[in-house]
Amino acid sequence: MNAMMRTTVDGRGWRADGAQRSAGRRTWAATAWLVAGTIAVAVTSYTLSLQVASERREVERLARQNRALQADLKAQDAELRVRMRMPQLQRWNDTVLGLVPISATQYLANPVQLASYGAAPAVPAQPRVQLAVRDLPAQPAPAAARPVLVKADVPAAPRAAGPIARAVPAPALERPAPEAAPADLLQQVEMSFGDQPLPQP
Amino acid sequence: MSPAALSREAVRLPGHRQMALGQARQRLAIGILLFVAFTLLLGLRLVELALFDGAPRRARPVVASPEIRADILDRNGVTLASSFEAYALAARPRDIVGDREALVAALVRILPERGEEAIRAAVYHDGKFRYVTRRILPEQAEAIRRLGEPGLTLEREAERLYPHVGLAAHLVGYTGIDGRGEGGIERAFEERLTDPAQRDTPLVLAMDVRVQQALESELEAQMLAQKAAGAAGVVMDVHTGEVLAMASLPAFNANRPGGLTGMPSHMNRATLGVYELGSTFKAFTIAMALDTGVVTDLAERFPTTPIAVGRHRISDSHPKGYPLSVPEVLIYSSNVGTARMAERMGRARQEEFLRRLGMMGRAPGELKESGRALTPPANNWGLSSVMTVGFGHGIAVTPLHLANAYATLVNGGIHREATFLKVPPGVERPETRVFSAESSKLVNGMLRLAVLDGTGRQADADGYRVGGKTGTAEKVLETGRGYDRRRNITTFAGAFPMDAPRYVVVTMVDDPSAGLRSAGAVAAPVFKNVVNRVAPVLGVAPDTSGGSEPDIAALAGLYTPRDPKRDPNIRAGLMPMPVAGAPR
Repeated sequence: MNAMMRTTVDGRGWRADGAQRSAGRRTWAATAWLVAGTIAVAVTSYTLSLQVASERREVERLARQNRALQADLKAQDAELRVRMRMPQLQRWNDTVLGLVPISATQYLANPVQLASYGAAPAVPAQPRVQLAVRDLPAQPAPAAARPVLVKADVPAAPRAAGPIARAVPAPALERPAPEAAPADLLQQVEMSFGDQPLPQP
Repeated sequence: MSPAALSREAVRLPGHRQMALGQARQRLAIGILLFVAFTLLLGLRLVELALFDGAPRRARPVVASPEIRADILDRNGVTLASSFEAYALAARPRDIVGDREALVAALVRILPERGEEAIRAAVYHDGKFRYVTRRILPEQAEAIRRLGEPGLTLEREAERLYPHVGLAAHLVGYTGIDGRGEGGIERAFEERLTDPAQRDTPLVLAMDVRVQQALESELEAQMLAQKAAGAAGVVMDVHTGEVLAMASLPAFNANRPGGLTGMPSHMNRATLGVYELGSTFKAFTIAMALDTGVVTDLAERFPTTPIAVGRHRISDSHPKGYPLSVPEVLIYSSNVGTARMAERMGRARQEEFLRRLGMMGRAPGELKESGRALTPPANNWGLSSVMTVGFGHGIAVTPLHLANAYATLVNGGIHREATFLKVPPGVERPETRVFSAESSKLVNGMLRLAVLDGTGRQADADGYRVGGKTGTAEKVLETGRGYDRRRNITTFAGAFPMDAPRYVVVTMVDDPSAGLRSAGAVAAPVFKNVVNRVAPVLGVAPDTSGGSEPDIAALAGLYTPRDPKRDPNIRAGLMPMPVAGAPR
């Protein structure tokens, strides 16, 4: 810097003619560079600032939208709550549903009492749809499929045990009647699920 | 040119030029350095602002919101009150440009519910400013803004919505046109609800809307059936003092409270109205007598012959004609018996007990509508007052006073003041012992017997081991002197389940005028219906087998069971099965 000042202050650069011209060009170029640099920095900074501002505006817009959505949500929630308000529910119950509070006698004291409610209805009470069974063309197929399940394991155990237990599994074995169709079998399985008469070796 | 100047001009020291040049150079260098330093400083500050200072702080938030109050929730999180954004529309008639008739027509189209006359009046109003309507919806506000009329002003304001409309209107309260709380919790917690720091945290009440609805609908049904003037009720947790429900009928629509606050429907009968609640006080007198030791033997018999004290004559309304044991005094609601017990106790101890029960001051709880109990004046609390207060006359309290005192009586004798706010689990509330646990247990048994064998039979909710006491009192004449024999206040105060009391229920029907007008026929059935509805909600399991009845072995042989098959002592084999037709 001192050297530069010395040149300008001393006026040494202005002496020679050729040197003077080149020095002028250099000064002009320096000024041009300076201006260009300033403009470049200004433009970049301004763009950056613009970008930040637009980003910020976007955030504000989102916040506003968020707020509006929240208000909307609250309004919807309130509408739902007003529609299901307690006095209204009571009015519906009084006029349409007619539900009454559970009485003390409807409570069960223990699980055994509850289980007694689950007793399956007697088997004969169930209607047997025999017609549909007869119309089935493929009769042998289910007949073949069923014994695989039942006969494979159940009879084996009593025979191995000897003649003492011979009479025991008989009723269990006879339950799936040979003429029963798949639909009927399904029904029987469903019914037997309650009182557990399934063959249990 | 003066010689002096000449001489100064003339003197040129060698090196002078060099010195001047050096000085100039030095100054220039300092200037440049300063300039560079300043620029550097600006640059650094910019970098700091851009990178390290975070988002710019604003004086106002990005999204403005009106002054919104905090929500109010019930104990299970059901909204009881919440706020919404709304607008107020005002007209400044002098600033209106354009056709006023067209403006009126446009406003009528946007605000059909407001009415043309009101809008016209505001638009043609001769003044600077007038509200056209308050609390309009944002969509309507937007439509009005699009009219572009400079003479119309839209102001943001908050609207308060009560989704359950009239349910617990007295307890939750309501807000006025300017958004301030004007009743109930809204008024009592005005500061808490509007505090900016707590605005986002809802206020959680002890109330349970399901219990509240059961209480209110049952009271209302009875009020209509009995053509009564009003009704009130309280459901309270005996251990924490939380008020689970509090009803006052007739009620009003909290969303449009309208009218003046002095209207009958705006008066909170449960906390502001004081009533002589009659025989329900007998349970306290017996407990006090047992606690102070003036009655030590439960088998002691009290004559029922009328007694004359001063100008008063005390007699029983259901005279039995033979001396009654202590449990029988409560079961048959003997005025004479309790008056005798109160007489033995004396004024000082009676007053002290009433004070500890909270019966001498304002109604408990946070509400500002709390009535002060009317007790005999200090200079006139003589023997006759002591005796009448003993059976609940000459003292007027609110139903909430009564519920709180019953909670104290049945929970083992510990007083905890009623609260409308939810008590978080594990929090111990301040407590004072009023009755001993033994007295409390004995009176609990007697209350159970009063329901099984006495005046409260119609309150016996099957399986829930209800205990309680009826109270029928005559209303004071409008003139303030003497009583109206034809107008009653009927009350039932009780608790369930009596083997380990958890909840106290007080029901009161004011001036029933159709059919029977005794508490046993009016207030007790309401109690029973309420218990039947709220017990499953509150998790109280019924037991119809009789195995959970309270232990009343101490009372065995001191009363006559009405239904021997259901009597706990006979079932336990402590009392013989009475022979039919046997003389007493």
